Amino acid sequence: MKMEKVNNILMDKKVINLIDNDKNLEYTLKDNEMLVINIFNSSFNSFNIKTIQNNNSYLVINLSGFVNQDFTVNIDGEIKGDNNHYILKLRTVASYNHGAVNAKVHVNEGTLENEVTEDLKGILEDGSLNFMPILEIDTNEVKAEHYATIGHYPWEELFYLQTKGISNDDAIEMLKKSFLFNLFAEDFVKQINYGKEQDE
Amino acid sequence: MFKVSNLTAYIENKKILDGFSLEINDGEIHTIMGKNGIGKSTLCKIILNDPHYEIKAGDIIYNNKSILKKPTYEIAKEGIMLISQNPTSIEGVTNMEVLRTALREKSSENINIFKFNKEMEDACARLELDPKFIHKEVNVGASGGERKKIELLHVAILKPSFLILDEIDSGLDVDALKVVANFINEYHKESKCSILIITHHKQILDYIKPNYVHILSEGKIVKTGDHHLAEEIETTGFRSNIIDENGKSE
Repeated sequence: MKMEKVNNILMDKKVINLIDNDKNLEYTLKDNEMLVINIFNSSFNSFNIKTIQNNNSYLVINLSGFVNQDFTVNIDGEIKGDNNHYILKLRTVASYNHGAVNAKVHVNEGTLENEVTEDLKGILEDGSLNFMPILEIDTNEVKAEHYATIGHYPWEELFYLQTKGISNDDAIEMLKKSFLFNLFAEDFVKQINYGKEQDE
Repeated sequence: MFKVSNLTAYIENKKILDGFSLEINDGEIHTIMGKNGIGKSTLCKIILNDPHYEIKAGDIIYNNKSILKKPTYEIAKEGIMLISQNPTSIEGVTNMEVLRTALREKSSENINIFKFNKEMEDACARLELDPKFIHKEVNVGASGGERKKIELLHVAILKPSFLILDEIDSGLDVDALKVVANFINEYHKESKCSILIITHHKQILDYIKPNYVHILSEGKIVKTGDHHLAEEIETTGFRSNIIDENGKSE
């Protein structure tokens, strides 16, 4: 386990990298622990993620992948103590079928100095998406924000790439890869190996 | 040769170009000047077939072929490159990836990586651009001046035969303007490309000498001259003795 200084606190850092995960995850962070969960699914299945944070912990969940079949992912974060960070980032491309993501964070009564961010983004191809970001805040002292956007590939970026002589299909592929993998560190992206055949 | 004939274009039922015509011979440099919102940038986008515009009449010919209905990437592959006023930034996509993909689509030959890297480093040196930008995301976190230089790095690699510069001088300080202008002049000399410069000010024309200067008003060119016309505009303005309020030249 590595040590990392976060907000001037030396923390035990743990990284969990999962590819094509279909299992439920449950994790209770220790005090002074930093946990990064990276999940890439080439086709999302239904699964649940449950996390519990007590004091002085730092949690990042990076979740990315394609919708190729109907699924529901439930993400449930519980913050019981003080001075925790909870960051959830989701990027998904709905190629076919329907995907639903319920992302709930509960910050307990009387807790102090917690920070919560939920950042959910989806791109629609021939599928559909439903995001449900839920913040349940039972304390007066918390920084909490959530974003949920669902749209299409940005037209300006597609046009720009095409003005360089890149076909629409290749431009979409470039934007898709950047959208899905921008969350992850380079070593995890290499493990995913997405698009290797195309590059070759 | 690049030729626009009698082009009439609309956006959301508003007429932007009204019988616009222009001819640029190979190797010539032309400048279009005009007031804000008169349709100069629109013309650039229409040449690259931006689907937001509706063409109701006319044609655009490049190298004896109509490019009017071609997809944007096909027009670019014909050798036409647009450097827009505010080049788009793309997170997660590097300049290296864009250029490699564009070159791969342009030619069936394998890319000589050594030559490719050398060309990019040389271009960065000529542009006084940090070579780190080669591996950085397209225009992300770059200043206005750096963005223009990054676009010219793309020119150095993709080697267009017709370059459209939409307000390339905006966002450039005096030193950066000289570097950019020198690069464009050298590229023009080496490649014998044609260039269309869209600008409000004559400052860039002090460095890049156009063969012709045109004034755009009411959707068409209303006056054509040499670089002295740009000087006249700089002194007297567009609404002066050159063009009256109805856009008619005196």
